[in-house]
Amino acid sequence: MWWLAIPVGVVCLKLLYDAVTDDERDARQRWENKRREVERSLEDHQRNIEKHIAQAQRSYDFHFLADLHYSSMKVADAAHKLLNDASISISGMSKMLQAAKEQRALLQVRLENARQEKNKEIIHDTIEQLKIVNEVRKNIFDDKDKVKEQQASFLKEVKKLNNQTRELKECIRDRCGSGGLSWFNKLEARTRKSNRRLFKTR
Amino acid sequence: MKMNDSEKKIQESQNPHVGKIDKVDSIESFHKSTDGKWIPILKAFNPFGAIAESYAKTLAYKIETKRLDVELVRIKEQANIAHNVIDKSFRLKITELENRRISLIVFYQTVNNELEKLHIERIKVLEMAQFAQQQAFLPELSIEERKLFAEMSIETTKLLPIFGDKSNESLQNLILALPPVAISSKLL
Repeated sequence: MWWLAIPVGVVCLKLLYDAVTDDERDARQRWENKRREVERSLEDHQRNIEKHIAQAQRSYDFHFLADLHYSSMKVADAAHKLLNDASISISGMSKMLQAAKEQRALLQVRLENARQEKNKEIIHDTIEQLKIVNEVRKNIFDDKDKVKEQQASFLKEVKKLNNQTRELKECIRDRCGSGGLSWFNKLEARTRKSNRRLFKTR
Repeated sequence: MKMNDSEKKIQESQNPHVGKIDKVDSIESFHKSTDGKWIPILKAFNPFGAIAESYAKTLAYKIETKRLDVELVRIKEQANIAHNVIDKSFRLKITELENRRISLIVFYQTVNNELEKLHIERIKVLEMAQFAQQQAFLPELSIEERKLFAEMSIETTKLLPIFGDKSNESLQNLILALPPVAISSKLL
């Protein structure tokens, strides 16, 4: 009967082997599943982080550029005011030159009449007055040239700052996602509204 | 002191590793067969050897599965840390922007007030010059008085370009205070 122990032993070994390999297969399957879960989790988290960074960067860029736009607009406004001031000065000086011109014409007629009448006192007085008028005119011309140079410089600055402000505005529209686009559209609508109001008042 | 702390935070926030989760190392060698030629043959004649190997592999898979569980927790925690760093860096940068905005608004207000003052003075000076010129051309006044008014008109007109220079100086200060027009460095 001892020989029965051999097949029984073989069967037992086989059963044991089967049980162990089944366990191994299950363990391997679980490990594979877990490995895939880890890979998926890693990819998901990485993607979320990249999305978060991009979102934060867009939001920061928007705030940064909107601030820059505000500053640029403020400086452009100041430059525009100075340009207006220079224009007012030039206009005032032109009026003064016109008045001096008219005065000179009057004095020349008066001088001509005095010469015909040979009235020495009036001739002397009129020549003195003409000297004053010419002196005033010459000085105004010089100062007007200086203010004109300043006006040209302010105009250049205004153009440069306006270009910069426009570029910033477009940059916000193109680079800051939907928030930037919405900001741009609101700003454009406000500009159109104020332009219409300005047009009506004119 | 505060500046130093914020600088440190900026440096930390500029760390290139932020936002990158470390990869999970896979241990694959344990289930690979050996390269020896005789050992598999010997194993084939030893049933206990096959069972022992299978059992060892099962244990190794279980250990590796446990390790992956820990890795999952590690990935989640590392991701949370990365999200926190992004949020904190963002808030820090936004606070910097807000502070700069406040100081710029104050500066613009000051310069604008100065420009407004210059504008009013310029208009007054122009009016004075025009008035002096009118007086200089009045025939009722004596020649000395007219000369005096003409001199006054010339001197006050000379002030107009000086006002322009002063205004230009203020404008250049404003332009210099403008931050450089470029997208700033990356947050992270």
